[in-house]
Amino acid sequence: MTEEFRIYKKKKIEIVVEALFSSRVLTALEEAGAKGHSLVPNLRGRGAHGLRRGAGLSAAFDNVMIICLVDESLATKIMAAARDAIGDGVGIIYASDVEVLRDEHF
Amino acid sequence: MVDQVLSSVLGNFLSPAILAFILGALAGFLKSDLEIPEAIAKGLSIYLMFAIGLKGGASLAASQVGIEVLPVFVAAFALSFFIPFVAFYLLKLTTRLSRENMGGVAAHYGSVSIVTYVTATEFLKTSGIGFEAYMVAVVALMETPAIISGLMLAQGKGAGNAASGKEGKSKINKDLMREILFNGSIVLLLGGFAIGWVTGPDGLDKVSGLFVDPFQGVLCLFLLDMGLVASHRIRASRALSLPVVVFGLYMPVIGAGLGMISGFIVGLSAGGIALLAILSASASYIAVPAAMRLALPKADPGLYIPLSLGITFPFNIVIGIPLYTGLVLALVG
Repeated sequence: MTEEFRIYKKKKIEIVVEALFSSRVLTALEEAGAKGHSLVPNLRGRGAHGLRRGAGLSAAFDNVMIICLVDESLATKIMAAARDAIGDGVGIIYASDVEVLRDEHF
Repeated sequence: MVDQVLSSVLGNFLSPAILAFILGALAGFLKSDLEIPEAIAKGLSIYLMFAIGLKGGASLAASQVGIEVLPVFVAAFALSFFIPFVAFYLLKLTTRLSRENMGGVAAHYGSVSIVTYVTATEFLKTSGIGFEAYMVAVVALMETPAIISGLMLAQGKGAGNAASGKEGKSKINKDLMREILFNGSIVLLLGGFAIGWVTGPDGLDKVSGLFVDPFQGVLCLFLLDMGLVASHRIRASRALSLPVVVFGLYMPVIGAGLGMISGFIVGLSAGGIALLAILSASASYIAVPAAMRLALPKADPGLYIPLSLGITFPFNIVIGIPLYTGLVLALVG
């Protein structure tokens, strides 16, 4: 292990949200201070709103997952921003502890 | 007249495209593992919309059109805008849906299904019935007005204010406007139409190996997927009550009737009247659901999508298209 190798504690926020609301959520995350995100498209699953999968061209049943690693101090603010952006839409939001390298990215 | 309509319906049944749709629906109901990857289904629909736009544009370039299209465009706009009012009233009369749900469903029925239109043009072509080249532009025109009237109906007079949070109230914002005006299907349809118009029949000739000859085959595969998707949606649906399902069957017939009368008044050909009837009968399941999710999140997509995709779409392509066409021919042809 080299001398510079260090790990930093962060929060991983994952948001499963209907595809149509994703741009709203991403804007909210950015405004709340998140510096980046990954988006996984075309999710499939089942939950409070029944079967969720793409229905032909219509994005109305499509879910995506947004993954966002942030500093612990920002986590609650960002989760609240995501909740407000989803409003009456379909979505779940949760966070977990992770460890990252390269602290300057987050 | 009854003979004519009946043979039209039976003839439609035996086309590869309709049988492919039925195959897809059967596979879905039988829980087969058959699945068309979403990316391929999307690719097929991109092909269909671009091709139908291109062909419409090219045939418009080859024909003479002038001011006579104006009343047709006005009629199409009015149909899209006012059909939701009829739908809303009928839903209010026959169901116990919430105001938001009624407005959401109504918007779908005023707007149009492009795949239904495509299937109808193939049916007309096979039956040797001509129609106006600019009908593709009518499709694009009819997509949006219903969204506005549907939202108006859902909001009502001062309703929806009480329990709404920041995002709770339906409203027309930037996301929504983009979704309505520049959604992929409109861009493809009108873009293909413009390209076809500019380049004319010679331009279409150059790409006909891809966009004309394989069209029917691609439509088959796409409808196979539509059958699968429609049956999945029906199976997963928990919101459809009997009065709502019945609405999904009679509303297209009422829409078709209004379309026929309007088409007759503005002086379309028999094929044109049939297409306007089919457009008025069809219900959107691409553009409107997306717009409703953004503008009216309280309306249930588990209601309006299975209804338009699982009930009205199959009814229209299997029975509706030949039925309305047969009626138009019997009355004016």
